[in-house]
Amino acid sequence: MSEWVVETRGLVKRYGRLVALNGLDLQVAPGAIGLLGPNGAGKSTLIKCLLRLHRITAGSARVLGAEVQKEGRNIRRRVGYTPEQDCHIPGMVGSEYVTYCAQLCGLPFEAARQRAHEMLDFVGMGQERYRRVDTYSTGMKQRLKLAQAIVHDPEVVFLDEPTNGLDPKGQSQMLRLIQSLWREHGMTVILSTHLLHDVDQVCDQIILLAQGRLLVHDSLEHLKAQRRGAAEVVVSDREEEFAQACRQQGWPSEILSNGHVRVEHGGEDLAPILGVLRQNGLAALEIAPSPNALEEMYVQALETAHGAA
Amino acid sequence: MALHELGYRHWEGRHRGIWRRRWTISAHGLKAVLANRWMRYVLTGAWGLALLQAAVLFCIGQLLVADSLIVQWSANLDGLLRTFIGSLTLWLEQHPEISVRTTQNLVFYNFSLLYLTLALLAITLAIPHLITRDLSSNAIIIYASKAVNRLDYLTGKLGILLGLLTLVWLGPLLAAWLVGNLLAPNWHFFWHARIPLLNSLLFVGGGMVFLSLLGLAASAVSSKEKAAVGFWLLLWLLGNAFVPPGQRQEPWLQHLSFHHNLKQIAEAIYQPKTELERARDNIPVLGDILRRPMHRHLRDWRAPRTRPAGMALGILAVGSGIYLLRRTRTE
Amino acid sequence: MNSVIHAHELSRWYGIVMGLNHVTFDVPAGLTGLVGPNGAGKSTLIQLITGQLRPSSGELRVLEARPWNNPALMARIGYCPEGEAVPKDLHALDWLVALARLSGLDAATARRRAGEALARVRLARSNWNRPLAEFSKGMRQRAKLAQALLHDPELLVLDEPMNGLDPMGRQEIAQILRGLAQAGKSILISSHILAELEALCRNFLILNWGRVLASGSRKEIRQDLSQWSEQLLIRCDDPERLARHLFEAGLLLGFELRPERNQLEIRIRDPRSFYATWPDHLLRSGVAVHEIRSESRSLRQIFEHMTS
Repeated sequence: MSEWVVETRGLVKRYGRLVALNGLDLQVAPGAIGLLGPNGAGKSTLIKCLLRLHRITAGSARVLGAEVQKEGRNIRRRVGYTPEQDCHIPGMVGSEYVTYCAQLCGLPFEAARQRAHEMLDFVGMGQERYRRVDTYSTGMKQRLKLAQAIVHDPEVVFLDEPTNGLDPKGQSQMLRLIQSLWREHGMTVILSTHLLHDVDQVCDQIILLAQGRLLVHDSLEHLKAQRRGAAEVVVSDREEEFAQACRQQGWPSEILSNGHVRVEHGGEDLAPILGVLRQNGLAALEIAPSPNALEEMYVQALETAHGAA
Repeated sequence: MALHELGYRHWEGRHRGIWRRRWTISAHGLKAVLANRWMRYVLTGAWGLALLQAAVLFCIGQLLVADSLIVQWSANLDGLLRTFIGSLTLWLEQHPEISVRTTQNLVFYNFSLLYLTLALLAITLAIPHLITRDLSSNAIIIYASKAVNRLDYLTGKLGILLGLLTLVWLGPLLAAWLVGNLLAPNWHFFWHARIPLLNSLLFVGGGMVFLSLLGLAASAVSSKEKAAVGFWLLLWLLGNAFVPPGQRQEPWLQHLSFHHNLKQIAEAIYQPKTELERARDNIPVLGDILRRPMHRHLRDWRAPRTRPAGMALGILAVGSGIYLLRRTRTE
Repeated sequence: MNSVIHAHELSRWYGIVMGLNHVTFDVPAGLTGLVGPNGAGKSTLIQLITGQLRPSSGELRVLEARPWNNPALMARIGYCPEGEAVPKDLHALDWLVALARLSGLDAATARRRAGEALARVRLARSNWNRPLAEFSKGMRQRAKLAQALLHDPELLVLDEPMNGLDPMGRQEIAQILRGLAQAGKSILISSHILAELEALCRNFLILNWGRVLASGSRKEIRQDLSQWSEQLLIRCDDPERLARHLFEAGLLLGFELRPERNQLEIRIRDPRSFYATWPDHLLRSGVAVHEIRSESRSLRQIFEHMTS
């Protein structure tokens, strides 16, 4: 057994002349992993290769210690997946569908039925579970997708854009569920998304791909620590005064379009800012250190890669 | 504890084997297919036909035994006919290897082809539920992300049609064989009816596998139900339209019809012509009476074109298999 | 009054179906986020503002004028609809020039304006003469934005401008919008991604079931929700020591320690006096503080609180 959930070596995937994955070397430890990258970077391709939905062109990949090329079926028994596109097995009601999915993973009917209902409870689906899947709204379909992906109690779950098409309330409910999968139930989550805020909230590791190559694989904490010394401050009033006071300290400061003040104070913790606030009798409602660390890392890594290419 | 944890629970249990998972696909699909109202009519038709076949077998059985109901009834008739029937049954009773086998072979040949038409109807009704809808709702990717692969999926789906055809074709035929021979005047019938049974198993078994493959391929043609059913009907009915011109001039044309090809194979297996000839040549009196009217018929009876028919079916089956594998790729 | 959009008892009905019901609000100049669940009335409001729909009753003024059947006003509003409604085989520049000509400009001015608009959305000159079909999603979205900027409008109305974009594309659009706001444009953006709106906008308009639940800045909205007790999350080196310090100072209603994540969650007794002395208390506790987050002030939490 290996300690890695996902391990790839020189993984290459080509579609005709298009190179989707270009020699990817990865060693992913259990956790909540955010899979990031621009459109066409190879995020979905990577997931599909790991599930053996797509054939690997060259190199090797292991999931939960098992060779993907040889043991696709056994791996999928221990892994869950929510595809990006709209999809379901037609002609069933919700609870029947999830039960069926569990049976397809090898659960006996009694256990499948029981777990299906528990998962539907978990994703917060009520009586709708007795309605036909074909009639579901986008929000319910996304919940159902999550339920079918975890019904067989997988060790890893791959989520491809799970908050797409949801309204704000649906998004935050979905994120809370995803968050609890790793934090409370120890299920490794690999979340592919365009929404950095989602990753910021849910994940503890980041994988950034571009043009089929790995740009960054790091823990979120480490990424943020690298960008210490800048903060966004929400003051209760007198923003201009605060920005001015910070500038007097020699810190570059600006008022952002949303009224927050961005200060580059250079300190290890927030003490310098608190000092300025106390001095000027100002009140801060919120102080977020390097709130855009992820965004900045993303842009910087891609620009560097672009420059190198 | 007053408050109970109702959140996520882990599952620890033994996983079922791969055949159980394939069976799950078949069972679910079969349930969906049988839920159709028209399908129930077809099923009723098939089992009604089985009843009819059993009745026919029963009547024939009665004809072949000296102390049977029909012979006793004929005792009330006038002298010549009574003597005739009496001597005929006596002969037939002494040669069951000809009488039972020949008659039953002919009955099973004809009924097999009747069931076949019902089976084709049943497939028509089942097609939307097989792969068509899975294509339209992207279900393939859901299947492919579970612990089943493409072959498992297709095996499971094939199981739906095999199950359905068992219900409308093989099942009624076997039931008729069993009931017909149970009602026969004596137990020897079972032994002498073994050849028709084996012929039926061979033809119907092979036909079922072939039709399942073909039906499955037809349902994978399109993600629109009407298009898939239309394609199937075109394959079936338009193919049949090529048979008459094919018989007149270009013989290869008739092999465009898989229905016709199946009939040819049935003829090759049951050999109804040989059976009729044997009856004519061996049965005293009756054979002589029948000789003249049967002569023209048997002379014009062309031998089945077994080899090209078999090749056409083989090509279709292999083509269907390859097509199915390509259509259900997730890449 | 310098409100850009002003609605007074505005309603819009589609037969028996409610689009917008008796809403009164003001949208000030600057960037404003339009938030609401599906079916809240966002599209109806956008269509009313851009003059595509006529109000059933009530008053709506955009830039001091009624939008319905008012071409003069439309020349001052730029609108960027949802979806990818661009002609695929046209070149970006040709498309914009054609649109400008359609709105009555002469050829030379149309060309100049189209070029300006494309420059404003930072579309590289090398892409101007490429068909839109070859554009990436982000570039297409920017071309759409350029289309809305063509006649140099005072107000921009954008429906889900970042839908389907990757983080780079989102960042680019956000930067362009910030730049436009700085240049004095007013912008109304609808989006489902609250965190993004929060990073961009000072003011918000929260809709639900055809009604306006709240309007104004987060601070103002939060102030009006005074019944809802305030919670803060503090990430620091020694949460226990900080908790003791704050508790002894009598500032807290209650607190919860999460030592494994170096976090302390506190509930505040009286926000006004609390915030006045709060930097002082933090400093005096001697604990290194890394982050102060107010969960109950985030747009997401406010939105959920109001729509639940």
